[in-house]
Amino acid sequence: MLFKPKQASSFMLEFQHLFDQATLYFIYTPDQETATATFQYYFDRLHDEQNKTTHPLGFISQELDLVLPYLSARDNIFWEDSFKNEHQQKFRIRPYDPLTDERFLSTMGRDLTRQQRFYVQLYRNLIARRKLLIMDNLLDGESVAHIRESLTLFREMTQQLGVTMVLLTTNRELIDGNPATSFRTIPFYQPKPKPLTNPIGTLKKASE
Amino acid sequence: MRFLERAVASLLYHRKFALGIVLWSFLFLSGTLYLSTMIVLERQSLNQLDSRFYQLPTQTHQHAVQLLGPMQKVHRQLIQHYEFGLLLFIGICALVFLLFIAIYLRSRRKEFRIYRFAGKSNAFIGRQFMGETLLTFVLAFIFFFLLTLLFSKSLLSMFQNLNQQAFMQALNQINISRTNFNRLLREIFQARLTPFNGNTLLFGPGQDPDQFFQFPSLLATYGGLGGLFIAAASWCSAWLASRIWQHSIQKRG
Repeated sequence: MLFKPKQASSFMLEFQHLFDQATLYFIYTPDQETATATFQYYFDRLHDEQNKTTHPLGFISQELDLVLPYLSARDNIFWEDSFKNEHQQKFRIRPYDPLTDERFLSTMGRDLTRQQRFYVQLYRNLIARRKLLIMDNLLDGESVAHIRESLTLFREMTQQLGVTMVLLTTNRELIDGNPATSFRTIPFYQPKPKPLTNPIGTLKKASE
Repeated sequence: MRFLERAVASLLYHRKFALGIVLWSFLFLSGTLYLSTMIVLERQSLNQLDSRFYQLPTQTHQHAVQLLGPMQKVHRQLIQHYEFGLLLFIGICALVFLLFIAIYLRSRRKEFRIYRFAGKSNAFIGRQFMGETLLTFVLAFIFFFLLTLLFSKSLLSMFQNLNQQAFMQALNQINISRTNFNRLLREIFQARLTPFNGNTLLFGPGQDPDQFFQFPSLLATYGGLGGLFIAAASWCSAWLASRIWQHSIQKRG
């Protein structure tokens, strides 16, 4: 289908209504596969190309690698020149501000570290005035120190910039540690029906 | 200017793609230049034949008609032949380009996803991709244009030789034997009253300066046509691809 009618708008409103506080939300996904599927599901349902500039939702993914390798970090963050002056200082919430770090900004996309890739996606979304950021399970498998540090950063961002952040995680401790802003079941998520298993395969298994 | 910077960066990164477009451009430009020059040369010879018939002494007209009739026929046949060839060539080039783009777009699926996640529309993606292909084509065109102007003299004489060979071959095919042909020519030019001889009657003046100036206009015509096609084809195919992949963000890609 090339010309699908728009259906996302009411879903978008429900979604925004659920995550209406400028805070950090956690969604528990049992495994990596579910996390990926959830992220994709949200993107499919919420991505609306008609409202690109005023789109309230942004997506940040560690898994999908959303940085163009042949552009510098600067060009990956600022798509248009006009954004630069307007936003240079606006998102400075810490002594270290990636947006004024020349070394980081001039690094080519293919040479960026994991953390720097995250910054690129984060600031790209902030500059596009996205108010609700959905992140995949990008903290899973990281060290405790890194997780703690990242969570502090996320919280500072939500408080000082007034954005809402939604983090998918397979880490039960994060969910248990933040019961007020955590979802143990995935909101709105309807997994795709699994394809029927091959009956011959099943028979084989049964006979083994 | 972000748009151009991105296009240049992408082309430097995707070198095979850029090289493919450059090769295609050279093939397209040289093919259309060759065939269209042939048409121009044939048309010139045909016109010349008509006007020169009346410059011949009246007593030779009887022989001349025997000679010129088949020659006109051959010129007309060749013009048709070249025109058909030109259309066919352009059609094949267009198909090859579309195929190349289709294969290539698949390998750049991931980039499209990045643009989409950055909030860019299908139209933006189409524009960006069009910028890349068009920029490559324009650079290839400029290079080809300068090269053609630089070697226009030898290029023209090469084309004229090919043209003459093709003409003689076609003439042989309509059952005018070479000896018969030469006999007729001799009889026509026995009087030697014309400002041209047998050879120039057949192929016109060897070095007509007018013909050099056909190259830029022919190149501009077909270059413009090629550019328009490339722009339209790449914009549409990228837009379409982006539209189709809009709802699939699988990890592979």
